[in-house]
Amino acid sequence: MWLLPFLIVATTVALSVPVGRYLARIMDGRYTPPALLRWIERRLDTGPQNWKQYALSLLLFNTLMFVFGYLILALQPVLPLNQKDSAFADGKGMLSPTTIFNTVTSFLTNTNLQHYSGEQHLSYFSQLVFVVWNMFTSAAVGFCALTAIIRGLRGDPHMGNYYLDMWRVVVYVFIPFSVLTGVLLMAAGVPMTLEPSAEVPTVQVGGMGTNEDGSPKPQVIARGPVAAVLPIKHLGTNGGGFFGANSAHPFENPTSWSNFLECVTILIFPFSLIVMFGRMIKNEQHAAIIYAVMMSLFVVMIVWAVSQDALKPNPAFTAQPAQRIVVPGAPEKVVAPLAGLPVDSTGLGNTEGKELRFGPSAGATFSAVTTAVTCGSVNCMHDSLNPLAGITPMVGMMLNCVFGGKGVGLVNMLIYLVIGVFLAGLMVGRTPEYLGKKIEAREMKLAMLALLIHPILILGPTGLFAALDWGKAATNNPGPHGFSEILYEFTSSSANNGSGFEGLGDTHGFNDATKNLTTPAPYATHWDLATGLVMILGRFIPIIAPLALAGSLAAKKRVPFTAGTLRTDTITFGFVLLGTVLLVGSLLFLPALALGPVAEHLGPIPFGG
Amino acid sequence: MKNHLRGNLILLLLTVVVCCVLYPVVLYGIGRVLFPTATTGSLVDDKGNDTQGPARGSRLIAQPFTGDEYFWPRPSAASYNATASGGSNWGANNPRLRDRVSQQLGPMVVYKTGSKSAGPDRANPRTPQQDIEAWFAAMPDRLASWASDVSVGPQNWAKTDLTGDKYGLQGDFIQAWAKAHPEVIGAWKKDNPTKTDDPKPEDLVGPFFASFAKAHPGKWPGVVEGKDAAGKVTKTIEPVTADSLLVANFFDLWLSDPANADKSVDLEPVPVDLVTASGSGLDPHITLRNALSVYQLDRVAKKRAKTPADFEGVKQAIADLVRAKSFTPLSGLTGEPLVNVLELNLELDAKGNF
Repeated sequence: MWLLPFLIVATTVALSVPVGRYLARIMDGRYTPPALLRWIERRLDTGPQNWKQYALSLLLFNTLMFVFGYLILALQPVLPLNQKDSAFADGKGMLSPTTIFNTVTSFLTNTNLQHYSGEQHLSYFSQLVFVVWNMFTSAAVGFCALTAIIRGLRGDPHMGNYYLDMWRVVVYVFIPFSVLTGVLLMAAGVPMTLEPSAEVPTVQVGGMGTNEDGSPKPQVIARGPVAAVLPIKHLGTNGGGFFGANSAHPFENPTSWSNFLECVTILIFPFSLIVMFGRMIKNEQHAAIIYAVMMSLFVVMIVWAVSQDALKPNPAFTAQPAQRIVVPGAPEKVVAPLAGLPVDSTGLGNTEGKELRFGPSAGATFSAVTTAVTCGSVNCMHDSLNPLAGITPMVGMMLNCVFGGKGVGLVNMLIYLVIGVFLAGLMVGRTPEYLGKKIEAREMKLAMLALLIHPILILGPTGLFAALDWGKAATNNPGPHGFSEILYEFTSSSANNGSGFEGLGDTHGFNDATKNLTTPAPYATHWDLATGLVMILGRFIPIIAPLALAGSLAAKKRVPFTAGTLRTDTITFGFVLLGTVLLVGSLLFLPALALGPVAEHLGPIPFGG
Repeated sequence: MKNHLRGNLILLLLTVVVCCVLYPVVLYGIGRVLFPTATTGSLVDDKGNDTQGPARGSRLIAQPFTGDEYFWPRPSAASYNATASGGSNWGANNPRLRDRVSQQLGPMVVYKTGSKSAGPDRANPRTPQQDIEAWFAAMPDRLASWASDVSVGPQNWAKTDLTGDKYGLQGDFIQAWAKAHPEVIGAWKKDNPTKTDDPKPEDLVGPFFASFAKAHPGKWPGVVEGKDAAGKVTKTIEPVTADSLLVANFFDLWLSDPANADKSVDLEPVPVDLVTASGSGLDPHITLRNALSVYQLDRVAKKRAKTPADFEGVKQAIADLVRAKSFTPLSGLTGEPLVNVLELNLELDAKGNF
């Protein structure tokens, strides 16, 4: 039960040290590539940039990503590699315009919230060009932003060059790791083909039903160039599945070893970036403290999820006591007691929405892994996690700094760190400093902006949608669990995670609604637009504000290190940081969690009916 | 600005070439050469061998099996449609989840062999289904209270065979009944002043079942097959006392009735993976515990044994085969042994005789 999470974490920690050092070497330009690549670097390098120029380049390139992505998806019906099969006789059509907007913003912000289903709605061309390209570049964007911020914090005269940084991350980091991972995944059984879906006559004749003329229907097995998407989906903490079921689908995740590999590839860069940070600021002890704080939060998340989900049966099947329900203004209701169903869950825990081949604790572990680092890939349906286990993924996304996404997670932690330094400074009555630079009003304003945008973007829209039919008509589960679905969707959007309590009705599908396998959800457009906007704001404000903060710190004079300086490389400081994260996080989000998963756990189960 | 334009365009062009052309081509080439079967979808032919040509299925994708001669895969929220993967996404507090599981359990569940409820006759033990039907008949208006207290089951009954907006036998039956009782439609409209259209069959299940219970106390509206004058098979709804849908719908109420506590403890527990849907809807495995349970192995052996006397031998042979095909995830490090259902069933068919 505990061996799998332990193996995943231990392997990644061991790998993170050499990988982190390699990353620092690349980002500091100490690696000399072959002549051709050097020539390309010279073409890309537009010269040293200050924080404003760096931010401008970043925003310009993201605008280009939006235009490019929108064009690819909108032109899907006429572009090549649009395979036809009996489920989609004319190939894949054009998605509805709002779904394209949502999908494009979702992929360029590294969120990969999917209001579509990969195998139903995207052609192989869209998967290979739109999805894969965005996965490489959007992951690199966060990576570059972090690097620039680190350069500012250590007081470099300029923040580097954005275009050069992007190239280095994509080609020297992501590509080699992706090829290696891709080969391992294919060895485990992940398809890599351009052939259309396989159509097989089922072994039990008529198992899939019969056609009008009485002939048995075949099973149509969607496949495709999956192995090209999967490595970067995880290495870039993107999380957008080739198939609707994401990494729960046997073609995305065929064995328990592929599942292990996917967990490690999700975690490797977020772990390594802390090591890189320590190398780049030449203060590895400070980085180790941050690493330890993040790790302790992460271990708690995993232990909580596994103990609530893999060690307990699904409460839907267990005996439930009688409950008297008193709501002011409504007649009192008595819920009759229920006997436990004769179901044997020993050793398996809650298996609704889980795959067996990964082992019993794999679903809960993956849910913690994928939300801690804002990947958003799933190997079980989070909607069907036991009520209290559902807290783990939500907390991971709400704190958004337990390692966090590629680059941006550490940036979030640095914001908490600045706030922690500020609070500690106030308590001992000294001017707060960080890495030898004074933290003053301007820095605090920027830090608060970056910190508060996240809860505002989550709680505001959640309240709005929960109050209106937009949310109520979209939920797939009753009562508090329905609320959790809405809360999860906006948390996932704002944290740029992309996983979901996927029962939520937010899919429109093809613009031509008659081509869809299922009828479009009634408020799909509202969800497309609202989450699209949340993703954009939740992405760029927490990148630009810390860039400005770092730029402002870089311009300051270094104050000498004295006996009165608050040290940031001690265990005491680790506790200050941990306390800040927990205090701020729980003040912001506990009420919402109480209304969702906690209320669901307290019952009644089942709710209504 | 010219600098930015140059940087952006070169970066776009080069990353597209590297990420969308060179990288997939390299992976495709390696995959074709080293793993030709896996990269095309792990397809198998009817003998269970790897193939890239005409296939009977994929090792990695669950196929629907409902026949008694086959092991059954886990339930699928995607109806085993491998172009529309997905789970139920039902939370623990969703009444549909408990309803789905108890509907599946009701017609299937058995008493533990040798238990008090199963009775002394081991060859013909008493079944929970008989007890549920007797319990149902013992109180004339159980149907009415079920329809008014339970939300999922009665509505689903009305929607059996619902495709698009066309109702099947059950829905039409309610509609015909409603036409004969216009006062019911009037009452519904009075209760739902905001709705403009006529009530659907599932909206009327409460009064419908209440009226059915009054007309046929202790009976269930079952589907009865008959033949018309031309010899064609017809299906009608008739009051019956024994029916698998009766058992499915009333299992949970029977179980939770304190009067049946002594019987419910004698039920043979069902392995949880037999009644829970997987995340993808395509999980190709079941646990070994599930395969060897009375709910799978005994059923398959009974069907494949030529005479009742062969049963024990066939059961043993199949159990050996199942054990031989089982494996434990992570090279044996985690979880419990699993069996691939499609591979197992193909092998059973290939063996033919036991």
